[in-house]
Amino acid sequence: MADLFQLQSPLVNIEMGEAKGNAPEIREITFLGYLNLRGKPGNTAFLAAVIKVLGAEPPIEPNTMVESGDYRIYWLGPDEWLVITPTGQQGQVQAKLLEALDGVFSSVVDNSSGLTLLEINGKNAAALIATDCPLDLHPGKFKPGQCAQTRLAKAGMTIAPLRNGEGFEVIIRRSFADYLLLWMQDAAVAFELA
Amino acid sequence: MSQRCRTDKGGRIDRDQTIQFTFNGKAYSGQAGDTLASALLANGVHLVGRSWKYHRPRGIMSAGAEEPNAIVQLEKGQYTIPNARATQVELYQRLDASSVNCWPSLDFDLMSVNSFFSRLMPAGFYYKTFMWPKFMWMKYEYLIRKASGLGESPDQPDPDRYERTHAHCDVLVVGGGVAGLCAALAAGRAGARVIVADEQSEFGGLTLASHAQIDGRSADSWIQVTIDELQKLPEVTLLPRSTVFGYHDQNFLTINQRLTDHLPLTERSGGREKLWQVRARQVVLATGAMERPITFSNNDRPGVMLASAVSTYINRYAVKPGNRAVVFTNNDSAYQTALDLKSAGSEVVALVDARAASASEIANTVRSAGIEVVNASVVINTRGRKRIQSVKLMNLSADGKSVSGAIKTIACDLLAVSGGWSPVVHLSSQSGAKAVWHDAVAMFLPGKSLQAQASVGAANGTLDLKSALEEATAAGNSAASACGFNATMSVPTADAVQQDPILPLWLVPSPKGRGGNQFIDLQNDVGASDIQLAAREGYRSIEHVKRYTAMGFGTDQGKTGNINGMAVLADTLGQSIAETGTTTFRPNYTPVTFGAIAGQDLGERLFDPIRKTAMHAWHEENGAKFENVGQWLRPWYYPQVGESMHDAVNRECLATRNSVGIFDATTLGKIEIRGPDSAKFLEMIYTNNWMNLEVGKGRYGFMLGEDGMVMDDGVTIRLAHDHFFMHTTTGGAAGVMAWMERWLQTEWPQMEVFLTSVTDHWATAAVVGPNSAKVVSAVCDGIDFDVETFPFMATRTGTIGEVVCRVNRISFSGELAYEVNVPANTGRFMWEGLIQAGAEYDITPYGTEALHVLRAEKGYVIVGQDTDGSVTVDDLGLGWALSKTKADFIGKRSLTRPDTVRKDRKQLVGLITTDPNTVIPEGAQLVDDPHVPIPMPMIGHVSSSYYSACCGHSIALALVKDGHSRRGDTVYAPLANGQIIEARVTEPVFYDKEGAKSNG
Repeated sequence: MADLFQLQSPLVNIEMGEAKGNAPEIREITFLGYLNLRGKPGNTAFLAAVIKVLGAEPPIEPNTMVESGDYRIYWLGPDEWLVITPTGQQGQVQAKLLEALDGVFSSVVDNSSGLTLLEINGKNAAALIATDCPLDLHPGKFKPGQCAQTRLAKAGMTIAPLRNGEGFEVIIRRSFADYLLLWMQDAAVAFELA
Repeated sequence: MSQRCRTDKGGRIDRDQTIQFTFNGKAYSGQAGDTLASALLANGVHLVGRSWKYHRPRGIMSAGAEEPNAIVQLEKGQYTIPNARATQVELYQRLDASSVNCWPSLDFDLMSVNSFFSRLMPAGFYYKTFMWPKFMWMKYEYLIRKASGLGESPDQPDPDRYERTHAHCDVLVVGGGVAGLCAALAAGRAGARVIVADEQSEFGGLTLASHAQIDGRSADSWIQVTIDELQKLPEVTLLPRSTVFGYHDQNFLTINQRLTDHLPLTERSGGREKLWQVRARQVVLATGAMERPITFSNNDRPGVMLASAVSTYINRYAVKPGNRAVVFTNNDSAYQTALDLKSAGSEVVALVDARAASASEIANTVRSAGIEVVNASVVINTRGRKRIQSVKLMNLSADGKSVSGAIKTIACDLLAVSGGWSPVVHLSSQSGAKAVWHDAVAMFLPGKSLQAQASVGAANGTLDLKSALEEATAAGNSAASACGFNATMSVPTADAVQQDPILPLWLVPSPKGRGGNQFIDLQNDVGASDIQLAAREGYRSIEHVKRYTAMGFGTDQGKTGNINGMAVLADTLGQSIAETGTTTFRPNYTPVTFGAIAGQDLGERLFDPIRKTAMHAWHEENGAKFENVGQWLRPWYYPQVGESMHDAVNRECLATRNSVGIFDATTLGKIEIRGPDSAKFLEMIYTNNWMNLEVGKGRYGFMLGEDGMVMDDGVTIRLAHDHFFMHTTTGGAAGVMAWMERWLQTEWPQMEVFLTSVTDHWATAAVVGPNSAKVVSAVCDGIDFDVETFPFMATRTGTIGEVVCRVNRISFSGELAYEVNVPANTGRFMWEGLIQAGAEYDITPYGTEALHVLRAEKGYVIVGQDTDGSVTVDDLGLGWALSKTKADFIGKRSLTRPDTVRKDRKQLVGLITTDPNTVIPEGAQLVDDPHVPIPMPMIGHVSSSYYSACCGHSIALALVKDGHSRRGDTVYAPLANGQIIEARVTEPVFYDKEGAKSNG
């Protein structure tokens, strides 16, 4: 049994390939920890517990994210956040959060196998995503530190600009990952020739 | 250049680049920069098509999007494009074009016999003639469609790729004429994000064909300098060959950009078109104006053209459209056309002006150029067949209602007509600003803006260049300012031109009271008499007249003639044009290919998302056939070599009932519910009791809509006092999540409950059958699988290697069964472990088909298959699931409605066919007596139906009126092929009625 053990990313069956021409590079960052955190931002006990474990207050400003050490916290709603942890740390962080939040109205749910993260890099990164994403990706409008939940083609995603200024990280659901990657590879053809 | 009607100099064509093309199989040459229309005219070809109904010869009338006649088919086979406007087709090497709607040929068209019968084919002809007798309509329609219509649809797959993008801007400028460019420059210089879209290959619009001066230089040169500056501005995007075809709510506009249509087929690469979906903070509509015709008898002959088109062909394309021209106008603008014709070397025999006098500067220039101006005069008729040969003139009375005097005939081969200008208010109207008629200028002008948009220049009825530049500059500055930029561009200078007022003239009065062949809508062969007839028959609304006469239908949507038709209707009804109003302007402005709309969302892989489980590749490797369940692709069955689907499903069912089967249950929706009020919340969401559920146990529940109908079902497990784990149906997952969030956020915000969807996080294998405990216990450590200590509907946590797993003892088959859940990144690891451990029991993977059979044998319903939104829990015979003690739950109130308690509701029953091997088709209607005449009284329908290998006969679930009291009755399913299947009504449980097998 143990000899069979392996972690498989949602994209295990897709050939990622190299970026051609002016198409942006698409890279999967596998096996990060994803925790869905919910609580009331007006509840000081909730905020204190989160600060204690993650070292930062969850962002209250809509559509923003904060980085705190190894952790990233993305605003998903007025009482909902996505916490990304380094690979394998999700169980430990979840346990710490649950302990710190004992007795506080809140929820910490492990969704680490439910999501994966793609980095889309290169000068046409925004153009590739804009192919079928209605969000305004202009660097003056969507800057590092911001994040948004929107759609890519016909599937949902959470997107944030990378600090390098010409790339994005895109968090997608496992079951849609194959579809979205095939879609992106198809959309990239428009930039391969250019 | 052998183009006999090409002028010696001038124009924007490239005389060094000759282009070979064919039209109706005949070879011609043109020049780079030509459109197909200008190249044909350069070769002296005016006759390009036949009309839709009477097959009358028709020629090129315009030089733009409004063209009603020059509709052509481009290329052949998979690259064919129907109904292109020759006036907008850029010429390219080896272009192959042909006329549409001609049979057997353009020159000799058999269908033109229709034109002799035109008096017999009035408005509403099809309605009146062919609709009776009713049963013949299908036959008539086939013939009519064959005889009419325009181009031919491609019959092969489209080989091209279509791109798309979303875009955002501060200011979208529609139209790249001087007004549009000027507005764009004002906004662009201020730093605004600007998109300028123009449908032509070159920016400049009609001004490209004018002699105007801007900022002290020629308009051509001003346009070039302006484009150069705009191109240097980093936030400005210039889109040539891009038609803004739709204006939707919240300043959302759609643009179709043609990327390769102007290139020879062999040189095309990349996407053919690109669909832009633009969200603009401000929109400036600089869409220009279209010249409109004047209607008179036989106004449709080849060689009758719009005056501005004549000027465009001369000045922009260096084409002389005729040698002997007559100009007919009711306004000043066509005077320039007379001058252009003269400078191109054409003889201008007469300028016929309906106005009693014309004394503006340009009118005097025309007279001093030696051109005869005939005032107070109109063209009443023309002669010629495939080309105009002469016009007949008469005097127009002072009130414009009659003609008098001797008929004067003038020979000519070109008649340039101007009835004035119609602002292109299409997009403005689509944005919600209803066009308003203005008598003073005889135009429909853009109405009050309802969105952040402004019309400028000719689109706003401002035909004078100086005023247009003022409007455009102001609109560009103010649009940018509204977006927070400091925009202060000053107005480019141009000379004001004083014009005499227009004399509105739509339909030239006929000498004998009634004229023939006065065409309003040339593409649909709608004459003035059709409009008048419709009015006499009682039609009053312009929208009704449009539909009765077909005026304004077709690929051109009546861009030239609609206004004349509205005026004729107004006149016939004795009302004003303002009272008559316009028909509705709808997207699309010009036709858009389906390819552009579809983009890359094509084919099996990309048309719609395909969701896959963590074990998908294993299923593929093991020969599964798949079926779509919502967006999920699920294993349907796993045929072995030589097996039919029937064989495979029977084998999978028997193996599961007799030993052990394994099923990928990952797709079920999963929602974590946390918070002190979770149980209270579930009490409202589900129909049964949840407060008393023990920790570590699960319970099956129904969710109802507010109408009391079954909406979803599933098992929810209590993991802690304040923590539940809900399963939903595969297809209902997202809807249930949204439904519950809605109740929490809008109705019960005081409840302390948080929801999180974890559908994708867990991979789930259902291990089912008498040997299931042996298999699962071999893989999962830390769990006691004794059937007594780990009872039905209980949950346990254990490990598979390093991986924490949750095992739920749930069954959807009546067998002893376990659902093993692990984080999906380890899903395949778990699955292969179970397969390996199950080998000694011959573990059999089964798909959704066997799942359906197994559950139907037990009478377990599938929400969405055995229910359809009109079925209650009582209808399913599962009233035990409705709490009698709870004060409330969603849908409860609806359960006492008269309709929900009536006796003859359709209720769930089982059916056993008289012939055990006959499987009734799902969806079959049931009747009591199959021998009564059709329509038979129907008593219900079959919702699930299978052959059950375990029972040895076919089984079905059905919803039958009053079914619960009909056990033992015989019912019939009469099929479309005449077969009648007899069946007996039973209880909806066919296998292991005592439930003995659930403990293995």
